[in-house]
Amino acid sequence: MPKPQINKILPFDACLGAVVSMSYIGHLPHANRIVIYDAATLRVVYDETKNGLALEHTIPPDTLKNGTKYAIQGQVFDSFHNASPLSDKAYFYCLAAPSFYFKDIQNEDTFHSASLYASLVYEQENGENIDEFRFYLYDDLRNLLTESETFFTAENMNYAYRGLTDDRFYYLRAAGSTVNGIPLDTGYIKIFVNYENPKDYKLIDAQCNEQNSVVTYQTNFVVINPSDTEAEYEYRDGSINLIDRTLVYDKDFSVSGDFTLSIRGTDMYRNAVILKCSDNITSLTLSSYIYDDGQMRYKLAVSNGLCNYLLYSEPLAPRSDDIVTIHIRRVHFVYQLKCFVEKQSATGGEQP
Amino acid sequence: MIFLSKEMFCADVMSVPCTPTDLDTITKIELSGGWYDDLRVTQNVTEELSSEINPYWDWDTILHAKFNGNTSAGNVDWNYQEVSHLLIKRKNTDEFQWITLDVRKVSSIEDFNMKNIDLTAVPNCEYQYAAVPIMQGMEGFYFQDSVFVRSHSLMIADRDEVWCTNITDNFLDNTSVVPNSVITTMYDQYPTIVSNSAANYEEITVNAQFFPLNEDMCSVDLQDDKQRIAYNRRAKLFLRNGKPKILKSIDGSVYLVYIHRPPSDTATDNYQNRKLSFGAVEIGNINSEEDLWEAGLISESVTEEWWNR
Repeated sequence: MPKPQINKILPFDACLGAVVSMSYIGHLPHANRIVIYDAATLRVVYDETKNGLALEHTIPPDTLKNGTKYAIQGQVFDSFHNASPLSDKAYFYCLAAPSFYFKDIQNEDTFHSASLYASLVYEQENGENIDEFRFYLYDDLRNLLTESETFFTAENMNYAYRGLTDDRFYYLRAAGSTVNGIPLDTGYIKIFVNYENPKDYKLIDAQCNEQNSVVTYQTNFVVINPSDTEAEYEYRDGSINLIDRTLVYDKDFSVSGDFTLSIRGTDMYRNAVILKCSDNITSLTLSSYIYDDGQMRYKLAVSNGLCNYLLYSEPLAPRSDDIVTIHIRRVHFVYQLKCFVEKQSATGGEQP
Repeated sequence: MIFLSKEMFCADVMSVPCTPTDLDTITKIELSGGWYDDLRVTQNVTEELSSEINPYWDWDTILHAKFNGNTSAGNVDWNYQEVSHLLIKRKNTDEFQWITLDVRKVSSIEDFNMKNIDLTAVPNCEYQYAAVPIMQGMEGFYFQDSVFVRSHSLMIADRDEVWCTNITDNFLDNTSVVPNSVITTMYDQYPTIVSNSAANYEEITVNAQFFPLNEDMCSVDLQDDKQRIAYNRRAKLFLRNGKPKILKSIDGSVYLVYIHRPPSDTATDNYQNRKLSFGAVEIGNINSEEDLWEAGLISESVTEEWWNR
């Protein structure tokens, strides 16, 4: 009677059990038996016979131990009650099911950028190493859009999904296997990409010359930072605290000709120079003065060679939490000063 | 004189209705004495002044600090120390794959502003162009613009020159080349095919006339022989300069080619009506960054590390 053959057994989690199968050529079987040994000691850990035509045998959960290599032999009993010889030993591992998932990306997450940096997490408590894996990107109908090259080490667990289109659903997925063949799959993770792409001002401008189809592109980035980039400031609700501090911009911009300069802030009821604009020789200065009657005026002083050209605002009495907006406009070197006070609730702030 | 010039003895409120001042170009702004949520300078002097400050950056805006946790006053809140490179990419709107057209290493503020041309866009398609900053080795936001590409003429260009003409049949007749041998044997009814080459490309025949055009791009001055001959000669020198070229027709046919059959210059009806006929052979994939880079048709700074594959 011929020997049966144990079919390949991929590593499985002992806590979950597994179904093993064997192949056999001969009379109709009516029972089969498997014998499982600890591969290190060849001690029998499981020996069970099962009736039935199917050459399958279920290893019950928690029968074996994770992290152990086992040998297995199978035997078939045919309908004439003849017993086949035991099969050759086949070997397999019991390994805890690995964790393989995207870190910090959940199903239905929304991303506000055209690029997404995905980090994979692979964990396997028995030291089973990852063998190979790929990243995949699908559209909202799960059509494959792009896939990464194959990675072979756990050092490449990060991947950039690039060029995602605004207002679209995508599916992310990574799949691979471990060195002993455990399949790994994150499953399809649905994400939504939604970001603001300003329509009125383009940071890149592309124009086609329709005579020859050549496209000219030009970026329009403006980067302006204060001279002291190391200084730390106090921020609150989108505001910066410049009481007793000065913020200076003196590079990467220039203002010539006509302009409108606007500032808006709170806590501005004080005697102070609040704004100074200069070309390092001559200057424009905006300062606030509180008069004896408690009213405050802004004074705009612009150098004109010998002394200053002066403009005063209407009297104001802003509370500390009132929002003060000041506009300085220059047209043909003639200046205009305009102030607005937006009263906040009577309960907030203190009276000047 | 001193009263009539820009110098004044004194000035005070309402001293003169229109007081000349000598502050011309502002290069320094100092702000202090309060809690501020906006500082904006614009060249727009017609917008209505109110308690609101226009939150949007537009073409007139010079500086705008919103103080949302930082002091940036530009239209992006980076500084050039944070951005290592700026990429220009483009893709067909209907596709997913981007192509990197240009890369600039950022070492100063000026490096943020790039201007260049893209020779490779296919007519009758819409493209998205994106500027992408690289920060800490990773791509940041894709700042995008879209453009629909059209063409009214046959265009042929290499990395240095762009030539176009609309005096052409636009046929671009082409032949596919897949080398193989058909071998008949003594005893077999059917031949044996031997195909031991991966070569698979097209050969294109181009017929076009190159005449000097006036500024309106449509008037042809055939009578000026001197100018016509010089122009025609320059066109022929360009076509046989040995550089890889891109060939585009108005219908959207695009090839990355080498001119392997130099132009033949023939006249029809009279000596001034001259036609150039030349043969081009496809040398690469128009959608491959590697092929375009090797042909010099995208910036040489787009080395392998920037290819999107």
